[in-house]
Amino acid sequence: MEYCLHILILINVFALLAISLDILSGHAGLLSLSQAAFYGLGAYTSALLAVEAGVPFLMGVLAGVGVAVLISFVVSLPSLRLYDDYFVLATFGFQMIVFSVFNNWMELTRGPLGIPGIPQPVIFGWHITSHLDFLILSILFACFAYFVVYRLTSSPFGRVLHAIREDEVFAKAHGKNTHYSKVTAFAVSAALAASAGSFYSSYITYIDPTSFTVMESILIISMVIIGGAGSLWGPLIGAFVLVTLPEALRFIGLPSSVAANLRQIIYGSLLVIMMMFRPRGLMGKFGFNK
Amino acid sequence: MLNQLIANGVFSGFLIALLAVGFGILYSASRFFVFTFGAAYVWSAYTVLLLGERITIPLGIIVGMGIGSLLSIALEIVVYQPIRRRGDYALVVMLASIGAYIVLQNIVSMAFGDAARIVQTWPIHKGYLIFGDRLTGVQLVIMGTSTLALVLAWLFLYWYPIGKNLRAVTNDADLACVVGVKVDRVIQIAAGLGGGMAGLAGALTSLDTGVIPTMGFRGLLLGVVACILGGIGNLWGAVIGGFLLGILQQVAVWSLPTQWQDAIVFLVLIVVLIVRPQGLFGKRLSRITV
Amino acid sequence: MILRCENLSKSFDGTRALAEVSVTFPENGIIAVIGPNGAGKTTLINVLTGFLRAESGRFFLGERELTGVAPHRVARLGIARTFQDLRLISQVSVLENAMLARPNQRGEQLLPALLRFGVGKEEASNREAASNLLDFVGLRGKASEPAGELSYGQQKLLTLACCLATEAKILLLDEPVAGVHPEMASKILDLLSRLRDQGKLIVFIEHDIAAVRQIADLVIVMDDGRIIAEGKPAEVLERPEIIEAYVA
Repeated sequence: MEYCLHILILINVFALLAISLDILSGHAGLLSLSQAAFYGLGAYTSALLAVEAGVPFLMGVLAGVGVAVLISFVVSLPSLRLYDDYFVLATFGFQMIVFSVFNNWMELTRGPLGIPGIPQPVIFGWHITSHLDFLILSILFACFAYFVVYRLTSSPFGRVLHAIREDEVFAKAHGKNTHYSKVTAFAVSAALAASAGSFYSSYITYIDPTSFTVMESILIISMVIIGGAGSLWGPLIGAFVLVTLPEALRFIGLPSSVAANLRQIIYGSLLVIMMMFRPRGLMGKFGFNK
Repeated sequence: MLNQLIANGVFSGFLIALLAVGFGILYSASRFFVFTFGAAYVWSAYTVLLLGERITIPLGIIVGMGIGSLLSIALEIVVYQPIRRRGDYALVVMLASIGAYIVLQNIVSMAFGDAARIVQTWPIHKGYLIFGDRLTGVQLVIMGTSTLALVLAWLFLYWYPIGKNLRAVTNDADLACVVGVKVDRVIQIAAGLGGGMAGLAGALTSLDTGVIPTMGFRGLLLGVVACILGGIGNLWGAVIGGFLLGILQQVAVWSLPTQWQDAIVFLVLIVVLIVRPQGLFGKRLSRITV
Repeated sequence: MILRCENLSKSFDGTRALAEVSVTFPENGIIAVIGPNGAGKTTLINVLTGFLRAESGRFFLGERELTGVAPHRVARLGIARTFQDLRLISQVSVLENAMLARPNQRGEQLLPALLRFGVGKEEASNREAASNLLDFVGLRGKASEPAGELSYGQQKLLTLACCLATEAKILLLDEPVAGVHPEMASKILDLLSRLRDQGKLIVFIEHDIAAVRQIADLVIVMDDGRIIAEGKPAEVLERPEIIEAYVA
């Protein structure tokens, strides 16, 4: 039972990560390889604040969000003015570097040793300790993120994003400040991913750099793509499929290292197959096809 | 001290230059940012591990290059070309390449394990004294082979008809098509050439610093950033970019705390993007024609 | 407000696309820009709308210099344009395309989009304005169809409606009737005349000389990046060197 709850919690965390990427990649068409970096920034910020300074959970979340948003400008401002490929490259480089910082800055992050003993959340007197408590909290976090994304993408702000996705020149020719929209979407995406990180760190109570690698970013991309970009259900379904898949593999009884590789091979292949035959994904609203 | 740093930087610059040139060739021809470049790099490195120790290293290097080349061409023909023909967004090709890379890296992981490994080369002795710096036999081999490869690439691009076609496509694919150049075929050749260079870089790197399945990402990042630094579309620019990046990395190792050393690559990228996106010697990239 | 440019020059890879082009457009009317391919007509529009930066020369809207201003700002200042290869957001509806083009939308900012204070009213009024424009160009019935499913001619009407949605006084149109069948061309030309009567300035590039004769108040002829003739159509189009520039 506990195990089922754990899986559900993970699905919520990844659904949150997937929807955070979707507003940027699905709706605005900007592929980012750095979701895991922002996820990690949120996790480390709130973990360090909680462990070193006893900062309460919600404040830690806000701090993590703030850090992620500020740092997102370092990536977005130089690269979003230029050709799309530069942006992907900048997020790729950023992801690699953030991982390297997490892994090498022994004084701050304790490097590969990670940060243990992260306190569980206490929100206005509600002590969150059991799996059920965490499930409820994870649902709240995920719903909040979905609400934000829904609001933004169904508003004129979202309309501009959809235009940018297909033809940015058209948007600019009609007076839209596309740079603002793109930078803002990226910041929102970073903020939501960071909130997932803060949640995750107080749930697992121990974090280390290996949860925030470029592979993780690619996993999140796969969830968005396979589930379907640009829709609200797509990322959720993608998260569901790609979280339960490795668990299913575990039951077949493969040694865990092989299972890990096999799982990655499966979603790598799915990505290739989807792109070749159904770029729209399982439930996508916008195809990446013209 | 500075001398040794620069010497080290120049040395690693050889390898980065190979990557930069290889990536530059591939990207200039197809204008799509693909990750399989990194796959060629890592597969070739492991080929040297496999063959080099059992049979002989030079064979390992040659076979590794061949594998890198073939892998690149195969993916181009089977996966990317059909997608490009459909007219989909570049994003789709990029995502497919990410999926393919994941599969390929994990195959290596499954076959050889996740740990870093060293390739046994020739017995180490004190090294040769050249220009006041100590260089080992392995390092000389690496530098010599790289130089040979770069010169051959240059000759190919500027003297052979196929190479000239490649440059024509780089400059203006539509125009090249009109005068009868088979763009698809040229892109395949570019893939083979680029993959081969990535393969050579991977093979030589394995002799220098060993292998690990995730090395593909690093190779890709270094190659791309060096290429952008030098300027896309300019072979010697890429070479210079490679050496410059190598030197900057060494300077970073010397002057920065460990956690920031890898960040120098990202920093270089951001600075280039802000100050001079076309790199030192290149043309400004823009697929958007109005 | 008067749109004018002084000595605009622009080269691509050694070829001169614009060579010291100077023009003062009237405050309103229909101006046709004609000339052989490669004469620099589209380049001129690209420079005047901020999509390309001229190497030398300046241009002004009224007292305000627009040289080097970003394209979206140029559009906000009242200059709208269409493109030679029809640009639209094909995956969203016709109405959404027109609504996108509406200016000054608070809902495009982050906080208003999240909190929605007043955005509902703004959307309703924009929807109405956009619908009226669709009416004007005759696309009311297609409002909820994806723009990609319209016929070529209908898409051209939509691009015109989107330009109008920006409330720009100046429209720079790149081949508004090329590739459409004669009935549609007539309709578009008629719409342009009506817009001129409403006080707009319309500058359009065309190869169809009949269209030019029909509605243009003034003709500008370009060749090799220069303006080689300017004047009323009846007069300019009879000149032997102009006929030669076209036939040659």
